[in-house]
Amino acid sequence: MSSSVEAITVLSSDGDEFKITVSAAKLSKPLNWMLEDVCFSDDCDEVPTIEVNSKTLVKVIEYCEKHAPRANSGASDSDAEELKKWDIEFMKMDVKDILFHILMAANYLHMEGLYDLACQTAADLMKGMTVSQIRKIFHIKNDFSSEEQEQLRRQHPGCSFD
Amino acid sequence: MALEDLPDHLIHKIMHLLPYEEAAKFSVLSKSLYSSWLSFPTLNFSYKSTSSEDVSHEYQTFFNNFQKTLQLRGPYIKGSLHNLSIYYCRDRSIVYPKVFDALLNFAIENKVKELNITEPNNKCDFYWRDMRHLDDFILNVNNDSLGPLFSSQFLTVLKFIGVGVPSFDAFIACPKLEELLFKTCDGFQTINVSSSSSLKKVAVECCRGLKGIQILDGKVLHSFMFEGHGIAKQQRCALDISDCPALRVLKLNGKTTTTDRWLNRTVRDLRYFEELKIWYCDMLEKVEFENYNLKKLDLYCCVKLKEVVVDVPNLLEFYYDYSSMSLPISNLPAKCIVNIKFLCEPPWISTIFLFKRFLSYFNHVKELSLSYVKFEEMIFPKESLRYNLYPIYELRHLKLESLLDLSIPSGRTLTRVLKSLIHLVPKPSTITLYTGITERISTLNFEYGN
Repeated sequence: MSSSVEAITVLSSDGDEFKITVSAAKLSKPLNWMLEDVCFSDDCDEVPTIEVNSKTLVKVIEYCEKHAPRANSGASDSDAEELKKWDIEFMKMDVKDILFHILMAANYLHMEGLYDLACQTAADLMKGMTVSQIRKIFHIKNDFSSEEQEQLRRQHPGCSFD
Repeated sequence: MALEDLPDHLIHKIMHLLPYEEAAKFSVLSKSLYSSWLSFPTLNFSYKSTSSEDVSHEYQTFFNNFQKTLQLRGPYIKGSLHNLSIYYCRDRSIVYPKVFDALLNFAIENKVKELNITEPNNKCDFYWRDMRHLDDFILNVNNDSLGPLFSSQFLTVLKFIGVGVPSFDAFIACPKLEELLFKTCDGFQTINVSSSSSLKKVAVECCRGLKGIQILDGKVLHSFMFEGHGIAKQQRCALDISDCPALRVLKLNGKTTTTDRWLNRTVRDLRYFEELKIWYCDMLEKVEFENYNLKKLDLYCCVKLKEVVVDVPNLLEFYYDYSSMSLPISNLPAKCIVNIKFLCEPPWISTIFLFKRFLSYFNHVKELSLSYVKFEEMIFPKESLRYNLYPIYELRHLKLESLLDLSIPSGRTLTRVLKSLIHLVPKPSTITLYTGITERISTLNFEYGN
């Protein structure tokens, strides 16, 4: 890759173009491999596609750009603290709409930090909730028949369905 | 996209981040999440004692549920068992041989990576453990079932708490083992670990009758912790960890065969060594070694210890008890924080000069912290204040900790405590009082004009 390139262009699965700085792209192993690939040299106009939809990709890139300076240089404790707060704000998103898309994207792009953050966010949403509250938060439909529920109740004597 | 649309390994990761009981809720959310639950490679069993008097019925129910779960989820987990844990209770003397055999067989068949057999409330306390009847809450096992486990090719974490075997020498050779814990285990004569070159952490605590521990080929072992069983009648345990060049943390507490020579030889060549703690070691007379990296040194109640000659230029914390008053300590670096515990009795008039001379060894350190049972014990008798021998002129930061007081002293007690402290350290920058139990802290800042 030519060293003059500071940002690369990628396509989302919806076909939209996105710019991402090289240092931010390095947070993802597959993107990092792409960087080393010839297609980002100046005389190449082929734009690679990332199998993530536009709405999700915007968020993923936002995360990468925020975390890149720290990942590349290491940071002080106060920076880490600030970043933690930013992460919490960043993760305040609609569950059904985007959280699991982000989780899938982080998994696909091998982004450990974002992957852990998304899983932790999902787990935190469930913690201390009743079964019916969890169903409501994650829009899960109870598709057990009443006989099946009865059977499960026997299997999990300690677990309430409500 | 919904939770149910995620691939199983992502759902399992979310389950993994929840306490087991909460993760179990997945099983009743919907059909598709129920099937994700079945293949979740973590199995926990907690024996919860109810108030029922019928212990054998209670046990039978637990065992039946346990077997049903293994039968139900076993086929879905299929040889990729990540974690198998059993938490049993010590309140009742129940024998679990059937559970244990079934558990071990299942664990080995499914290539378990982490195995915990744990009594969750287990405490290992020096003061009461001799008095209790250990046998009442030991899980007795047959040593035949341990052989395959101790040579497992998959095991990474093994924790046994309160497991009893008939007199047995454990030979552990698990190539992927990273962490090993044996606590209040009974019957192990020796514990021998070999061919476990991934081993990072070993802790052996309060195992009755243990005569020796040997670790061969501990290439990446960075933490070794040993604690003896009881004080009075404990077996002396022989330790061989000479084959562990990457050791960072070494903590020994209780009767071992640790001699001056053993310690010197073991510690001398450790290039990454950071922390050494030796408590209640009754064979040690002289601690003598050089180590460039050591950051924390903690010596406590080693009754025969007469001398500490260490060359540790990067030491940051030194913990010591005031049992041997004329201890010559040389070469403590100036960046060091020193904590001296006075848990036996306060120094009285006859020994106060020795006490002050002892403390004057710490003239140049960054901070001196004195731990007493009560703040009042720091108050010097009036007569001793007349002679200002061995004052610590260089010391700037002095901390006084009380282990039992609930609040910072006030009024006359405070005045007398401060008077004694100033007598000892005439030119402090800060004096801090701290209560160990309630964690109250109060700092006095001093400023001096030219």
